[in-house]
Amino acid sequence: VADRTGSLAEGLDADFVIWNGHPLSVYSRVEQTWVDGRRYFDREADLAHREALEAERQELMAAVLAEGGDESEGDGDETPGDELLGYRASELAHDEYCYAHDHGHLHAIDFRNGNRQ
Amino acid sequence: MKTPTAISAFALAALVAGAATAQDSEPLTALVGATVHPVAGEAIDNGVVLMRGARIEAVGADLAIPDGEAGVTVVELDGLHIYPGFVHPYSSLGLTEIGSVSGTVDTTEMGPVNAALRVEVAFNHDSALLPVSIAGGIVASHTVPGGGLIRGTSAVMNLDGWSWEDMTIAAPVGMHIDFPAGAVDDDENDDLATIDETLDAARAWRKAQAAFEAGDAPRPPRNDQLEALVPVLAGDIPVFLHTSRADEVEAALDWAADQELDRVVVIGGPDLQYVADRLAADGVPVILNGVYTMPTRRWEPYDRAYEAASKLHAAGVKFAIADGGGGFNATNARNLPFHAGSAAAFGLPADAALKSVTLWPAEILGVGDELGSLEPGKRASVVVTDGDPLEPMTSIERVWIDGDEYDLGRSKHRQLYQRYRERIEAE
Repeated sequence: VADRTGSLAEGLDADFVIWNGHPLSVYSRVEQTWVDGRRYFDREADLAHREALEAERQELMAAVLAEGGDESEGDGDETPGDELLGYRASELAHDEYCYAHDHGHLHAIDFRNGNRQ
Repeated sequence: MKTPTAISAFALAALVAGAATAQDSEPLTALVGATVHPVAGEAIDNGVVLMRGARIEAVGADLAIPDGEAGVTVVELDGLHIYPGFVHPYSSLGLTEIGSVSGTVDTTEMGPVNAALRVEVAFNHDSALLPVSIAGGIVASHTVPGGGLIRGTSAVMNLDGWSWEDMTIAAPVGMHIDFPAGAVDDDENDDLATIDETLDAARAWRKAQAAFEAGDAPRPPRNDQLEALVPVLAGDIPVFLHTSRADEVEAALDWAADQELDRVVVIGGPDLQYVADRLAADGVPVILNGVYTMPTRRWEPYDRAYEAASKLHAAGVKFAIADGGGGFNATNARNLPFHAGSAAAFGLPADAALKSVTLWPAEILGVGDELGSLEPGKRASVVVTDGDPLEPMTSIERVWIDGDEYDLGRSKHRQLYQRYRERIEAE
């Protein structure tokens, strides 16, 4: 596939990465990643977007807490904010972040015991 | 053999400081010509590291070397760099060989309470992973037992030696407790109750033993588990609390305060950054287990784990960086310096990154007078490189452990490199 990718040359796919240093250096970071001429990742845009994402998350949480705050509703087993998770059963099976289920198992990432399923 | 004459005030002071541990009759090795990075202090261009026997005697720019005398070896290292060997802050080196072959894995004890476990006696001095780690610049490992709630005591082990006895640098280093995640929001958590009951029993045993020693009571029944917890209750050794999420760290710190455990070290993941201010205020050091890991929540940015070390550093927390492997991943212990370097790509100053795998783990583990920097009196365990030791592209050229040069050809990786290189060259 050397005629498609692997080097920066005229006529090849526009797949490239912009680094802030040598790509094999541990001190280097990816600044931008382009695939087929499309910008897939841009660290500057990612950083700029974080504030908005966090604000949106807080807004959603506040809305859910306001809605679920009345303890007379439901059977009392839910904790406020449960609805926020909004996971369907099928999604819970893939809840790799273990945010919405019990903890009686080893995680894919368990910082007590290292990376082992 | 006479003591070499120092020609600079710094060197003289260094020699005096080192005199307490150095024996004049022991052989002297002088590493010359390299850039010396003591970690405790600025780099020295064209510096000298003098090693007498197993200890560093002096480090400086203008040290006189009694060249030509018997028992003096001068090693020219022009263009290279000398660093203290890395101290792995949390591994299972020596307890495991091949993860998928259970007979070679001795990391995890059965049962909830293993306080009497002493990890050093299980340490396999002949593990093939040790030469591989040394070839990666690691000279000592804080080897930690797994399994159960109270996991037993850890040890700082020299990675080169003929038996666990002569490889034990410090033991017991600390008592390891797996703080139960379920205890975060449950006051009646069974696992935490087991830990609490065991500590209460240890307090009672300690009191009974003290009464016996004072001649006021009969000898209490022998109990290895409870006896092993006495140094923790007395504050002689710290308790290492294993945690994962931020709420567990908070709960573990609350619990330690309730238990009046004054010396606490927290082992955790990137969530430690969320507790940084409290850790700093309480003076609790931490072992950050892994830098190059995924974010732990869906809404976290991709570099949240990479930034954890810099956040801890900015808050003033004392920390060491481990490789993310812990109990199960000793084969990758050699990647330790790259984790520290990755943290430097995301905000941690490079000198702090180096300290997080040398001086700081040594200090947190209570072996700051033995390892972690190039200073008189410390172990002569040094690494010679052709560049920055946190860079994967850097080659580790030579290693001395306790003053003896280590044969890096013992590393399985280097043997395979040589073997296939010869095959290519033969074709």
